[in-house]
Amino acid sequence: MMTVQEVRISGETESGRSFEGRMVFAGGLQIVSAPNGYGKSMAAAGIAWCLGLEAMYGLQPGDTSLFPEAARERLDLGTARGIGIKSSSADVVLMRDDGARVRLSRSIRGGRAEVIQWDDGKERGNVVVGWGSMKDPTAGFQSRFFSWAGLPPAKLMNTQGREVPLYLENLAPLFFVEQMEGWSDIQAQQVYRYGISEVAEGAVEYLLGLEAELRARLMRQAGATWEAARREEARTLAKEFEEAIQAAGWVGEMSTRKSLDDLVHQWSAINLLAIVKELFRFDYGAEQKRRRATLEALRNELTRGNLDPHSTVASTEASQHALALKRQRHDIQTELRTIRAQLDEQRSLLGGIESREKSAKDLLRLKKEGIGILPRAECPTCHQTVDPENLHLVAHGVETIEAHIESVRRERELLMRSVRRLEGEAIELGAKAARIEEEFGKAEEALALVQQAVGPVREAMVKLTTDILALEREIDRNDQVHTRLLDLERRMREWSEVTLKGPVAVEEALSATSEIRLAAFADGLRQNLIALGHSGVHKAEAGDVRLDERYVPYLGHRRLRALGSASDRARLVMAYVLALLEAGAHHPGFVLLDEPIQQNPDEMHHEKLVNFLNGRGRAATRQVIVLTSLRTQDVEALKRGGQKVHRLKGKFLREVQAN
Amino acid sequence: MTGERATDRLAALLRQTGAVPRLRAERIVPSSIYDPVYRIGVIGMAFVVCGKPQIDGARRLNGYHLKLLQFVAVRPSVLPRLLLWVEADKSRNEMTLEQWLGFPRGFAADTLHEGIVSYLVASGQLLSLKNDLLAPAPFPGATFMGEVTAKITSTATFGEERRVLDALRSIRFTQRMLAP
Repeated sequence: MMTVQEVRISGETESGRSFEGRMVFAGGLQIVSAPNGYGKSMAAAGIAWCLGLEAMYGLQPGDTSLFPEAARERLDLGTARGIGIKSSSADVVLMRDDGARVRLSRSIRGGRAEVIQWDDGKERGNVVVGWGSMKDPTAGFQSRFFSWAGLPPAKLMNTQGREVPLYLENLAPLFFVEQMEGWSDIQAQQVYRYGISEVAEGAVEYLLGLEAELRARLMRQAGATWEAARREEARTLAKEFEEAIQAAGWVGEMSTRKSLDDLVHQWSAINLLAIVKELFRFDYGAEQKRRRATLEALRNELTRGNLDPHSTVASTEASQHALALKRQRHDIQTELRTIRAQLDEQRSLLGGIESREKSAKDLLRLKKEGIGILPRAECPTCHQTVDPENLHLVAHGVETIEAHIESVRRERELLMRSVRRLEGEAIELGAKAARIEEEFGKAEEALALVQQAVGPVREAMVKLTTDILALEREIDRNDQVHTRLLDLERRMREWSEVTLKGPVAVEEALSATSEIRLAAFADGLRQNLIALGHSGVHKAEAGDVRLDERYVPYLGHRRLRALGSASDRARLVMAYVLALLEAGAHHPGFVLLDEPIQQNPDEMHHEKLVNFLNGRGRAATRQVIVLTSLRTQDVEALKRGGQKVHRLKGKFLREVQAN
Repeated sequence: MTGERATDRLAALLRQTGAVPRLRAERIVPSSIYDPVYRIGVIGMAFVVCGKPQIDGARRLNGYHLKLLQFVAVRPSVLPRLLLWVEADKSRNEMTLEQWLGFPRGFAADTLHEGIVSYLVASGQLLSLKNDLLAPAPFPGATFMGEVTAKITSTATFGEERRVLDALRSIRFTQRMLAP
């Protein structure tokens, strides 16, 4: 754990004048009182900036808008007003419980806002903030900070089903309560835009150190995306099957649009060779047997056969074979061109129909909202009524448009079927064309070899050899398809086995350590609520305050947020973050509360805060920084209670006189 | 077969298959692109996307240009062909849109657009200035066209029409190209 030792904002004006503002803190309760407009929130923003927490303010990385103008653009120095700022930066010094310190410096104006200068005495250099700063162990700020602070990395799933880390800005709303928004609710400034699922609950579990629960949460989340992931994998396997058969010149579709159970049942005993046999009448075993027999016969003919020394059959056959293939190639290419032209035409038509259907649906929405009736109008010059019907303008009714949408939908479905059919034909013909092209190339080579041979016997021998080679190629090709299908079949069965087992079971029960921490947190919350004087929780019923499974505080069946007065919302936030600080095992170790009573300047609220600070607040074992504006009598009351109050006057940023 | 009418022969064949003739008396459903409200919305969008902003906030468009814009916006498949024609014109093809055979004949015969423009002009929603049309300020204002246009813009509907208009925004059509 750590404490904030110092925060400093400094810079130089365009006219070369230096300015600086500095706050120094010790451990335990740190009360800083300064009038409104002093610059307390600027100091708080300096801490947030150096910790890369701008996302908490709804800003993109590097956006300095969390600072007031005085740190970014122009400031007042002494009697001079609106002096332009040339450069400015923020520095924060943090100290770990073991005494190790780190200084974090980050430019606000006139420098590189995307980096934080890290200096812990051993390592000094720039680390980047923003995206990826958790993944980069050397140059990423978040990764460096978590490691230095001894905080373990933790992950949750995002809405896309990917594991993502919990960032510092996801934890900070529970220890850094900012003046403008932070008091409106517990974790009011949680960063939800990263899409991390259950991030608010995860942040509480992290700070409390409920590691097993956080892990279980991740596994539960993974379980929810498990089915989607299994389906995606099944679709990939089905697609691979379709590609495998396409390579062999067939076209088919393997549907995965069924329940996971049905798919598991079907794939657990899947036999792809049998499917291919049934769909494409291709019996691998019989086909290879037949080809191998032919191959054997050809080899016998070549080695032991009596070749006719007067026959010209070999040359003629080779020539005719090449010619036949050439003709076939031409026919297929012509057919393919026609199909592709039809496909282009139909796709374009389909695009037109889809956009027409969408427009008609948009129009229907307009009509249903009452904007669809063409009104009569009055001519601004002659003041005669302009009747749309006289201009043959008749607006369509809702029923007409609905009927049109229905007819366009039917047309679209018809066209889609036709496009799918044509796509299938184009794939099939494309594969066939490629195979014939290859065969034709080989046939031409064979013909050239036969023609180069001298004498009918040699011609016959060359012809036999090329036939043998062609047959061997076919056998090899079939073997490749066979191997690919068998591999796919094995993977489908494996998929089936894994899917049948289901997602990994999640341990639901709380561990003993977690139970103790959670109980301490709830107990601290109850005591803080009473000590702060939350008007919705009376001492007698404080025992009924409980946390639900999302760590939202309830009193009986009512959410605590809805109880008490509007000012109790801030008390609830304060009670919650302070209880978490005391009970947390993976807490950074400090809490910053920026102006906890700003909305309630009256007597009673001041008194309640002072009483709390003099009571439970005084007993804080960790650092609690309270930036506020107290009245003289409040300061006196705190002093009487033994508290030290840092009273600040004037402005946070002051001119630094050159020596 | 001599003297036998083809329709009688067809009827006899159909009877053999058990087919029952059925007469559907209802009209064919008209396409929504002929709905005047839809077209007024498209005209409004054309002024928003392609209209020339005037000092007082009004928007101005050439009448023939507007006819072309709305015609293509409701028929997105025409856009690639139109872009080809524009390219051809750059190589001094000098063929007007109506002379060019690659463009749908429906463009010349589209009387619905004229009717709508007449309605909008007669009701003061558009002002006719020689060859131009002016959508008066504030645009889209409190007119019927303004209401439809504002609704379309705020709900981000008719995306395809807007895409086409966006694609046509940067094209400069000359009077010669658009001459009827």
